[in-house]
Amino acid sequence: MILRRLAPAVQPLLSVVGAFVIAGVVVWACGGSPLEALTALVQGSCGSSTGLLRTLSKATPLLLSGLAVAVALRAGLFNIGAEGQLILGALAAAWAGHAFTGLPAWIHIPVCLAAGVFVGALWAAIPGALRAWRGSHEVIVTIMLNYLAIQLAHFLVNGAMKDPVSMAPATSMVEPSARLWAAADGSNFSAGFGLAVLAAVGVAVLLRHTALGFEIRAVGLGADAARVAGVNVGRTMISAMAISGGLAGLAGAIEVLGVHRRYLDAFSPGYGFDSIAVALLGGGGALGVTLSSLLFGGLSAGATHMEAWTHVPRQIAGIVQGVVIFSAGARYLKGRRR
Amino acid sequence: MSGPELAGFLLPLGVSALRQATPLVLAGLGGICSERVGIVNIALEGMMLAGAFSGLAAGRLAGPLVGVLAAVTVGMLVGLTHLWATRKLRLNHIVSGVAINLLALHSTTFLLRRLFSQADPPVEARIETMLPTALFTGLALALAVIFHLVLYHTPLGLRVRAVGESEASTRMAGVDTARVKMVGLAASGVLAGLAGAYLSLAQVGRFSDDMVSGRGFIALAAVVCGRWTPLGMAAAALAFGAFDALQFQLQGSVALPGELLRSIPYIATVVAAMALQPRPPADLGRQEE
Amino acid sequence: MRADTPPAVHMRNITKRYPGGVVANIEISLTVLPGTAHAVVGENGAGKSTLMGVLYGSVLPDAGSIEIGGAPVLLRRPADAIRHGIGLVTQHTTMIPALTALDNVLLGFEPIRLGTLDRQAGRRRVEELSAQAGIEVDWSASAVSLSVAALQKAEIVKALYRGARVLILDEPTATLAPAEADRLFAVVQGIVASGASVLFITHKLREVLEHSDHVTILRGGANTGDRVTSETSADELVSLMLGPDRSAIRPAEGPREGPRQAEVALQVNGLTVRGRGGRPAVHYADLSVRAGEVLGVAGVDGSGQRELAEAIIGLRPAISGSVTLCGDDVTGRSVAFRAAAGLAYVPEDRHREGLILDFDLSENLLLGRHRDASAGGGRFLQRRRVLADAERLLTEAGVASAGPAALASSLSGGNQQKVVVARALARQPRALVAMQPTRGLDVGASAAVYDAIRARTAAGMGVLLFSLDLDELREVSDRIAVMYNGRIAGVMDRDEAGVDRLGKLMTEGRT
Repeated sequence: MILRRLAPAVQPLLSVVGAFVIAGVVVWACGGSPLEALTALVQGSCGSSTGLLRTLSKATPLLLSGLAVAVALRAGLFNIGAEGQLILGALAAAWAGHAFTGLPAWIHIPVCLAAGVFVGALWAAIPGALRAWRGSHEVIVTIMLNYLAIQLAHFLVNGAMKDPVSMAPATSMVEPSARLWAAADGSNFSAGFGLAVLAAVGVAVLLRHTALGFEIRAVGLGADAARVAGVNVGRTMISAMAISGGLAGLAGAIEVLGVHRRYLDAFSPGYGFDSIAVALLGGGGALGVTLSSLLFGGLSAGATHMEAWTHVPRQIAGIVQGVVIFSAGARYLKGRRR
Repeated sequence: MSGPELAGFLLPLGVSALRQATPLVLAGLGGICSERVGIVNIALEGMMLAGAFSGLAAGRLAGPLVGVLAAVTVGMLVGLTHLWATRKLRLNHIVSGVAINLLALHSTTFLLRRLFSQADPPVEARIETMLPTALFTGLALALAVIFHLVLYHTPLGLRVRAVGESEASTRMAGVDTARVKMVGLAASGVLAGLAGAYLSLAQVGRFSDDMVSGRGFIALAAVVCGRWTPLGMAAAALAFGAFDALQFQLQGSVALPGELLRSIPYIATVVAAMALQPRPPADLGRQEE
Repeated sequence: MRADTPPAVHMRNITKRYPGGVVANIEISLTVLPGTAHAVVGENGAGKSTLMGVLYGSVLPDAGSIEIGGAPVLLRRPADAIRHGIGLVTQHTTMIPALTALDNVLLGFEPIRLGTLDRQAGRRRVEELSAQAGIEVDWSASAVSLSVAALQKAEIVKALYRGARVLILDEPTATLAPAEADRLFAVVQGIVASGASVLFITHKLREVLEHSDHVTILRGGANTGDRVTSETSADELVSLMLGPDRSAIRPAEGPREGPRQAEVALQVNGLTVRGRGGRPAVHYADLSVRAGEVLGVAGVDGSGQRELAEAIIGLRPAISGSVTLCGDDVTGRSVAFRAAAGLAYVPEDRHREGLILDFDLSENLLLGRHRDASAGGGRFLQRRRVLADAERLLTEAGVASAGPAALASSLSGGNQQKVVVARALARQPRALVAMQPTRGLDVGASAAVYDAIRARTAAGMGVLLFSLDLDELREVSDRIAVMYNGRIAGVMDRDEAGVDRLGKLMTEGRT
């Protein structure tokens, strides 16, 4: 029984190990020492309390946007647009953070988070609706909406929403009442991590224990059977995309309220894209996504440390990610056919 | 605006538009080669990046022509990897594309630092002798016409179109569909690699992090807007290039924000995808059983 | 035929097992002589299509050998078979809709001039071949615009263009009107007269007797006989096709016990439905299913059954007409609404439409009832209740499984179908629409499926049963309607429904 429960974890683990081995070979081929690099990586990600907190802080947006991709994936949809949803969610939260003044924190913070969720959900509902009503492929549409979101945000923070007293393309700082609690040790760890874990629990409940989650999974695994059984497939797709976008928007909002305290142009190093790796490695489930976001968060936190100590460029972490998608993706999608 | 003034505005604009459109046309042709044989290709971005980097790296060692050769070869290998992943590993086409893009992005930045860089940032590698952009522009436009002829007037073109519509039926007609797909993906990689080489070896003469910066996706957008036809795609790519050039020309001078001009390809593509007018090949994205 | 002429095709001991253990062909041997029309007959699932796939290289056999014109050949892909002069016209067209008819024919064997595709030369050759065969097709039209009959003719020319000396036709008349079928056999005669061979698959005995020289009979994946057509009879063919135990015409059962109430469970009035390509597939269908009765619907495959069933349960919009369930008009309502109102559906394709194979049994049984509190559904699912409900349904239906947590894909076909039926009946529906509910099932599983349906019928459920199997329809239906070309051609009581009368209605639309 225990073995059967562990079985789904075997291939992801193997693909992670495989990816590390390949990365090690690359480091070695480029004249570095794989062992030293790995030691520095582990040191940086969990060798100290600051490192550990940094891992968790890096994992926060990955976890949320990974959940976003996973929810859509469970409905059989590829949300390549988490990046755009995250950006606009962040922008909305930053706006709500400084536009409302004089609110107590227990109201202001939820308002800002809700703004991020709402805008993210709306942005993601567009490709969902186009897929449901017009049959447009969500991948093409989400890719285009990513770039549109980037241009839109760029336009706004250089114009209408720009902080008048700052040189940088950024919004004004959010009110103190809108700021999440954060550690003061430079790790960027904030209460946002707790919110992300709550969101993971929420996604688990949604998928396992609600009628909507049941419909999402049914549409993902057998849209025809679901339709014949009376499920409104189009509406389910739109709902799944909206939830997905809401989670990505939440990721953006938390980055603003917990880390940057304002919207900074081009602040995202591609969380929305990394989230695809997180979701695939996590197998589309909440627990799996949580674990894989911790792995990638640690990788990202440790890579900077590794670069400083061993001169192995931190991009090796990205190579690990790419290899993981190749091997873990084969696993996730093999069992099902559209 | 007087006549000479207008010419003085339009001529550089046209030249600049062609320069911006060239990589889009090349990569777009690559997208057509892949999607017409049924393989979704969101990996154009990564193929271009791999081509741009390997072109520059080989170009520094042995001259720009060898660089182009290297870019094309690496592009082809990436294209065949995409085919292998989708057919043999049975990876979803999107998943494979995402993985290739990530791998290309991170391995080029990694290698850039490892092989060329001392300072950080900015990190870039330069090449002294550049290739003339007109060479690539002419080639791209000629190829668009040639591809049109090949697709509609040669046996290979007929087979390519048939495979994209229904691989099973094409196999039943006695065609070696695996070979057709291989040719398609190899050509896709070659063209995207060439587009990358244009960027690093002809347009700017250097490689910097993520220098393709979304052009692969705009090329894909041109494919969609051009309804998966070489000439339609080239027209869309030229239009996108013109908007890009216009935005450079108008920078800071007019109330028209550059972001809006830059957004036009994306908006156009969403509208095109919504209108369902551009019907993709029927077998596009089908997974191997 | 002289003894020293080698046979056009000699297949020896062909065996094919599909993954999952289904044996489609067991040591089948088949000899086709040159210049003859050779029929292969057998019921659905007898292994005909698999055998032809083996000969065309699209199905790889596990054992056996093939000789063509006396020489042993290895057919690993269709291209090999084409090279050896085998042509196949499949039941469902392989013409690619987006290409022209001409391009479809030339594909893979393109005439070349100066490196380009020489369509003119190709067209000349194609027109020459079609003139010889007595076929007329608009070659410049795209395949999507051609009728089924025209596509089939184009496919025949496509095979001839590839130099076919042995032409396989897989159920060529299944979707043809009788007059078109006659024209097809005229073409077949011409091809045979030219010295080539035609191998056609059918389950219509009349075609065998009228149009073939030799006939091979398959049953359950094995060859049960080879006959010269002129030396056999319909009775002999039937007994070879059905086997000794089934060949005797089954006596119709007496009236079943249970009420045959007068009120109408399901009423369909003037229903018109669009099919593929936008053409109406169902014209002004009127049907009335009384509570407690089984109304069977017979018809050649593709006569509009699927479209009619889908329009009734709400999957497909009707252009006009109405659907009434126990007096309530449900026209235009959603699938879910109709299901909640008491309309259940057993779809044709249980793998794609009936079940979600990667769901476990409890989830499959919940699907469609997942907003229903009595089944453990609702906004939040009550897992314990869902499991208990599933456990009960599985036991009642006699499903052999490892319990509610077993994946649907782990079940045998028969048990999968029991799950589909159990779910359909779980809400105690007032009317049931069933599409070929026993397709591909063995006798035991079929009986179980019908027992389950009968139990509810006895309690007053009306059943609309679509089937291609006339014997089955005559056994379980109280009345039988016949669909022909999208119309209800007739409705009769079971006692009046002789095979001849049904067959005539099915193929000609009148008696």
